[in-house]
Amino acid sequence: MTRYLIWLSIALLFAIASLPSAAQAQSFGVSPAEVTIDGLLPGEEAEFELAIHNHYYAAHTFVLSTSHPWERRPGRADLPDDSWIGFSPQQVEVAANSQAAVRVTLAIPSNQEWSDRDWEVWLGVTPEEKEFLVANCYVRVLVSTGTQAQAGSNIGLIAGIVIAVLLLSYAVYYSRRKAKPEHQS
Amino acid sequence: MKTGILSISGAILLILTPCLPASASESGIITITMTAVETTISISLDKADWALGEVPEDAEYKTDPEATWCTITNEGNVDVDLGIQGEHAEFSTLLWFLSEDGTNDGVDSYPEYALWYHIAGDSEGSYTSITLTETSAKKGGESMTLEVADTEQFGLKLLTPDYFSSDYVGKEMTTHITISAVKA
Repeated sequence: MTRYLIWLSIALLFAIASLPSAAQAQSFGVSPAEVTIDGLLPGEEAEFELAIHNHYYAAHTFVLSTSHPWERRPGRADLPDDSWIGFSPQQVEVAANSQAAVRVTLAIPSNQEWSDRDWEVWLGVTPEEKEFLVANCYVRVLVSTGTQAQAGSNIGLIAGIVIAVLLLSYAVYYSRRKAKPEHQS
Repeated sequence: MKTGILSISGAILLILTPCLPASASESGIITITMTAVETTISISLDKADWALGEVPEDAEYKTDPEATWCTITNEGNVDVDLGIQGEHAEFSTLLWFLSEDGTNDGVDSYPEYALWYHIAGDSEGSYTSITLTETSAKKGGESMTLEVADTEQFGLKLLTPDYFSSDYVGKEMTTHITISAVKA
């Protein structure tokens, strides 16, 4: 195909032209910057809250998502499944110079495979209305799981109680049966 | 009879003993640490758009000024590592693929464009590719950390595809560069 110069009316707007805020500086924040969760057992759930601070002069909607770190803390692996993280709500409108809370839940499936692990996942917060340059803040979440041994012990505890009740019942029955002949004589 | 009851009680105790540590350890299993002093991660960018107007094939553009076009400020109370990521450019249903290696000779039948950034203070003319993969922003080949209240400036360079069809003419292009911050 013949190569010819095509002038493209790109208007490299790179942004949504209708937005009055397009030329404004972007500024927002999230706290805390880092969350550490220790001893979470497979089958259990942890919950915490993030605060999103909108420093814009207008209300903005912020979207939350999970992301895999470009650089993790030493000894940590990526969280195996992003679906273990839940946001409530997933996106939130924050008034100008104000803040809003988002609840985050982390649920580890009940599987021995996920015991004794150290993971890292990042929670990203970014404005829904994207301009050419987009600011994004990540919260580092460091998760360490415990052992499943405890779940096994719970089963042992229940079994122990059942056996104890049976033995105690037998003891009462035995003592009453022994006592009867004494009354008769 | 008493001996029998004592024996049974002893047996019960023996059965329950291994379970006691487990039940004791059940209290306060999950520890969530969110640091006593509230930490906030926050960055600001003093630019939002880069308007280039009409562009030809195989042309290179740089922001003006080249190195100090946009200022990033760490407005939080923790030092942050910075990351950068680009996207394919959209023209309605059409695309320009973002180059992974700085070339602009096309991906299959799609036009390919390239983006770079240059951090102020880095050696002159040194540009780093912006790709679809989010990577840590680098200055002098090292990952950058922005201290509290500190600023960093950068500029951009864009290379248009070496060829694009007339289907792209008159259409508006949309793409994004994401600047990310995470606690260092």
